[in-house]
Amino acid sequence: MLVLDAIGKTYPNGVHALERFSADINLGEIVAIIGGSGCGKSTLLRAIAGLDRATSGTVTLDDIAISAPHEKIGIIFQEPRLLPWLSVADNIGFGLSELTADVRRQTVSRALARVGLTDKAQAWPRELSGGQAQRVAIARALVPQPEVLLLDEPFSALDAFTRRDLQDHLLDL
Amino acid sequence: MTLDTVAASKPDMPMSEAPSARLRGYARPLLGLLLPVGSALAWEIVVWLGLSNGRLVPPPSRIFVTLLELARSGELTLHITATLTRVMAGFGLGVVAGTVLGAIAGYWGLARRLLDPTVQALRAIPSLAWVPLFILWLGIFETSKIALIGIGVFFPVYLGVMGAILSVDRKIVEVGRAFRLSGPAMIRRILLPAVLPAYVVALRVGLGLGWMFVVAAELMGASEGLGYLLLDGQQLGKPAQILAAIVVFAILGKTTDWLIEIASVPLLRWQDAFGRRGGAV
Repeated sequence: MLVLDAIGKTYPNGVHALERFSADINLGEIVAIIGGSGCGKSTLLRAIAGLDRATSGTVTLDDIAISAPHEKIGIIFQEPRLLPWLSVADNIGFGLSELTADVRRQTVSRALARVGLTDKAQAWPRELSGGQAQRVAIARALVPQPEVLLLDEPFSALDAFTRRDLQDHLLDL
Repeated sequence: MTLDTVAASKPDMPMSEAPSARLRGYARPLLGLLLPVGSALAWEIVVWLGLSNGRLVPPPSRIFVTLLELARSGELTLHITATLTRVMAGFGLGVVAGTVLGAIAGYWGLARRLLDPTVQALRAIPSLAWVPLFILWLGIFETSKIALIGIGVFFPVYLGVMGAILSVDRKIVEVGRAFRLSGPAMIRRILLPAVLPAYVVALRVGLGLGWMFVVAAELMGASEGLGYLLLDGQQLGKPAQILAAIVVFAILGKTTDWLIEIASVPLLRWQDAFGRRGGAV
């Protein structure tokens, strides 16, 4: 269970991005956090992901306090943030460095098939469309099999058709 | 409303255009030779027509003959070897020191605050100011020359590496953090590949300065090397020898720069850069 207890975040410039945000989220639950631009959605997700420290409150996952990135928590950012010097396959396998080369290759190959990009395995990120790049980012976040997957508006920059396609795709995965 | 469009069949390189495209591929590097070869030919004609005696600025044919004579006597090989060895040793020294210190200063804020002001102050010192000190400390022979070249190479490499690390996209670094990379893994898997394009530029600038500094180094007392050939030509009033040495400097400098460029191509294939497509028209 992911427990967010009175999370607050004040930036060094004095901006209060979050104030006493609490929630209990069970395994398998899908939760959407909705709000206007600048209301603190990304700040909250970054605190949960351990990328930013909350000024107050705690994040715990299965009774483990989260203050730094954790293997059980994956995040997909607003932009794909693919590493341009790695092929699509290597980007997907980026978080699997502790696996043997063979296992990693098989895992990546399965992930490529699941996001429908098998033919792009050796392509550079610059050769992908926006939707394809975001699918690679999804695969990269999913292959380590995180228990919590945080989506920070990953489809916001895509056109309506691609967005709908990827939303359906993600639910299938 | 329906809109029917016919997607035109547009292969990357139509068969009829292939030979001309290939020709353009060969012609592009040759274009760079147009200015020096054209100028040399023009000067040759001016001297040949008797419009100048070519005494202080000898025509290319005389420079070529001088080069041939130096090559036949074995002197050219001797001087080239001496200069190349110094440049390569100094370059290696400068690159190692510049890369290590640049990476440290770029990655750790505390190290940067400690190190960078001193390095920047040292950078402002004119290269020739080091000469008397190096001679006193390291003697007149090879060590002082290599150290001087190393100094010349060090600063652009240090600055290039530090600046490149500082300007790595924070969002890319965050990907590394999200995957819990340790400090050394972050450097190896994120920062080094990210700074590679800028690093190659820094190496090329450093090498260029290495070639400049070798002349200063060889002018401070050498019995062999292209710099010595320059000094010898000046003292004995042999402008053709001076120009021959300058031409060899230009060829060696361009060749070594080209080698770095060629070596970096497979490492930078991923770049989606303006220059990859030949730049503007």
